[in-house]
Amino acid sequence: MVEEGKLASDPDHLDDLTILRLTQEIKDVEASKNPLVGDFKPISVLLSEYKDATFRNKIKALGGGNAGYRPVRGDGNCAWRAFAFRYFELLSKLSKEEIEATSNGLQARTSLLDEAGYSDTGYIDFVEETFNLFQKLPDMTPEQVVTEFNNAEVSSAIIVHFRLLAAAYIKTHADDYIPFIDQGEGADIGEYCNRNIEAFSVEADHLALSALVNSMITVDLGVVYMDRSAGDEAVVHKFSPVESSAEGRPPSLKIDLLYRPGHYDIFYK
Amino acid sequence: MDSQNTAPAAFSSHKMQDAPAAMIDSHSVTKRLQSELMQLMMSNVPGISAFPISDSNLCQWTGTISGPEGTYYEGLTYKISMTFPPNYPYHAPVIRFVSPMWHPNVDMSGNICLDILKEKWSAVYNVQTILLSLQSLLGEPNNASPLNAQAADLWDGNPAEYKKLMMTHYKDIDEINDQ
Repeated sequence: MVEEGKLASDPDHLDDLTILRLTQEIKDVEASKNPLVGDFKPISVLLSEYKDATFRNKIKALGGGNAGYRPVRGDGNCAWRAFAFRYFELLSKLSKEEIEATSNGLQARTSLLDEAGYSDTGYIDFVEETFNLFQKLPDMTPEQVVTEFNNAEVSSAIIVHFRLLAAAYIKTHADDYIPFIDQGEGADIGEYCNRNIEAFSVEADHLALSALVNSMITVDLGVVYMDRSAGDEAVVHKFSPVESSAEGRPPSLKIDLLYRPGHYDIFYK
Repeated sequence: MDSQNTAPAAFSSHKMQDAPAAMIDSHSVTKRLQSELMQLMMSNVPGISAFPISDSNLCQWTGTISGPEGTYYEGLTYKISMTFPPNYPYHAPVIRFVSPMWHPNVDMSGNICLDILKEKWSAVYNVQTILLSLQSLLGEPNNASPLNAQAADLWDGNPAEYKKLMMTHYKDIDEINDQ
């Protein structure tokens, strides 16, 4: 690394490769402090972070006992990573048959990507990563799912797959979504999806979560809003798929996220 | 480097030190870039080309873009450099013009202002889509947010002057390669 040391000593003449490597080193230091998907923490840990009575009352109302949360790194992908992790964590506790039925159901939704005009060479690498994990899942413990999701290569690919599914759902159901998209500055559906959903590291908004749930079919999502709004209980926004899976299988999964302004973690009731 | 010497101490007591490294291993980047190179060679799109500078480092590419027909840049060929980050394709590569480029959205150092290389970057983009986007940028600049204000003004305002100034900056690609 001697030759890089020389470059690094002259900040006016850093080449692109050195800049990217230095940026990555800084990110790696951050990453080692905050895993992509952290350990489960009981709700008392969350409570200890707040002095404010509004928050404390709301947190207490979330319930005691087994309630808790699992922190997810705040890198602009937290809602997506939280959702995808919890999806596979819940599945890892189901039977081999149920996992297979879910996998087949999701595989069938790949047609959304084609309908929306994505080229298979563009999405195949990401989609494959999801189904690689499905293959391994029947033999995995929930702890191994945590390890798997802390491998950025795996969880980033799955996030891209899920982002594309959500964007594809919006593009193929444009009439349902157009009224909710701010059409200022000539923004249209494609532009909205590109800027807010396909773009990696852009946080999920309400529409993105709605589209994700509709694209997956087998998930009901609840988002607990832990903010300063009035009331003793946190507001919970619920997202349920418009379509439902045929004959109740694959099984429906219930995912809860804990939202604090600007960030999502996984919530356990 | 200093950062490498000091960083571990900052979190040595933290148990997450044992967590798997979050960095994407460079093997997958290499694999992805190799397959992109194959695709690019197979599809053989006219007017664009790109390939790694050396076999030993797949993260540094060089490429060429020919100006689209019916634009100021028709008949001219420009050289670019592409540098891929270790977490490509989740983050955009750094692209710049190596040839001097006189264009509303390119600065004098060859830096390019193009949304898909910044806030609109998505992992489904690849070298080919980048090259095609750059090629169309040559014919359809974003004159609303120029890096080169003079070029943006002259684009519609004075085509003859535009062409003249652009040509005074242009260097033939053979001349660049000899440097």
